[in-house]
Amino acid sequence: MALPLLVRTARVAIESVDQNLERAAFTLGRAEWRTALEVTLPLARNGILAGLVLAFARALGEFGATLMLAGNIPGKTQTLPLSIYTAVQTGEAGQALTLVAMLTLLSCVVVVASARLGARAL
Amino acid sequence: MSQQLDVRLVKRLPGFTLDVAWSAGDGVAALFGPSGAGKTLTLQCLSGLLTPDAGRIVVGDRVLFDAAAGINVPPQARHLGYVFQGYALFPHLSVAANIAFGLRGRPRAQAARRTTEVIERMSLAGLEHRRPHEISGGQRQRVALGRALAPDPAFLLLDEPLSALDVGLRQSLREELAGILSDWHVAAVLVTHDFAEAYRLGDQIVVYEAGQVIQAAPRSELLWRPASERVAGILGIRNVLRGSVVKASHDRIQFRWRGQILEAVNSPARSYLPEPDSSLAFFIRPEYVRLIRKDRGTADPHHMNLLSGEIVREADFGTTYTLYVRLDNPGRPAQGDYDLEVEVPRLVYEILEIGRDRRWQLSMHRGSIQILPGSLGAESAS
Repeated sequence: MALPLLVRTARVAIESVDQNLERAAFTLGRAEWRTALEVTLPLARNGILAGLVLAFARALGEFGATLMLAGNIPGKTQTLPLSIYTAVQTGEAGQALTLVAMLTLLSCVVVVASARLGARAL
Repeated sequence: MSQQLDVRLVKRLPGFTLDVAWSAGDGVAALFGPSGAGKTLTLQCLSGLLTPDAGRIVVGDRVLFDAAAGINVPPQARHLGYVFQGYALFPHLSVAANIAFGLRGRPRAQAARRTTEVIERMSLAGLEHRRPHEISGGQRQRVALGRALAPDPAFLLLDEPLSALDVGLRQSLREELAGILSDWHVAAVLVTHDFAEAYRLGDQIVVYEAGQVIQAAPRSELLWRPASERVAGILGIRNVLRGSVVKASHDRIQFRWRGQILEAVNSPARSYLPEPDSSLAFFIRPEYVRLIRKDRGTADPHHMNLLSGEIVREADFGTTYTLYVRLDNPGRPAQGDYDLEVEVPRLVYEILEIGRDRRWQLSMHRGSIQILPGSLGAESAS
């Protein structure tokens, strides 16, 4: 579920690298794959990282698809929202609250990180 | 090392066809023309970034492209230095790494030596570790030139190197560019839509219009003897006028304009001999029309092609004045409400008290009237 997010962000980052930089590398003797390694990817790095962070956040909050396909096995396929769900179902309100706090904090970190990476990519 | 560059190419795009042929040797060839005329497209075809549909590109004895023979050398192997509009410096690399970028594949020590040499010659010492956004516009231009020149290319291709700059910086960078080009003795092809730039930097000027070359000539020839009315139009030449031929010989042409017979010098080199009564295009630069001083009489032998008229309007350009003069001759004025633009320096304007005195006799030296051959068929056909 998170992969398209990564692909899309990375693609935008790669496409936003000035084509003239790649052309300049060609005229200076670099083959296309070397140009990708030396020019395009380094310049798209922040955008790709931002995509990774967003995809990670998305995966963190996965609920429906995980429950249906992977099940709800603690320590294996249980995501944060799933364990909150389980805690609430079994009446462990304290644990549920702790997990909610954790998830909120993680989301904040991710939002800040992706915003910073995005800003630097510009 | 001087090499000949021969270009002949056709590139078809939706709604636009580039079809040009020209040659360049030593020095700088400036591709000049309005935006969208195909100049940058030509440069991209030369560098191999774009593939033409037909034609042949040869540098010295190296064939870079030949549609008929199926030759298309990739940009990596053309050994041409390309300076992009806006420079396209690698923002993630230092000044030194930018300059060294094209030296990959050479022995490490040699590449390092060459990088140092280029940095020295471009006066970039001390900035080696800066990033492109940390240096000035002038320094960026030198890095871009250094990066393109470091691998010692056969030709340098410059795409509108100065167009993104403010007027003040533009002039000083133009002079710096002129200095670097002559200092490095590198043959170059420069694209520009600014005639002052083309004239200052180009030894030869290739005039582009709508995907075609309408004249290629040494710069002074282009300025003083444009081949046609179209070229004169693109150069922004004023007072382009039409008369009818009375008599043409190898060194003189007499023609009728506004009911008067004028005489101009014909160019023997061009041996342009139009038939009597045929239409003729000519121009006289506004600064070459002379006002005759009333206090000195008209006996001066340099005065010829005398006309008289009245200033109907004027424009103040600070150091010069442009006067719009309508002749006394009957009939419609040649350029709207006036016949001739006359440019005078401010000092002359003040000494002759032109602001007060609006009626003048004018003279046009026969050597100042430039005949424009080659345009008449095209004009009457359109």
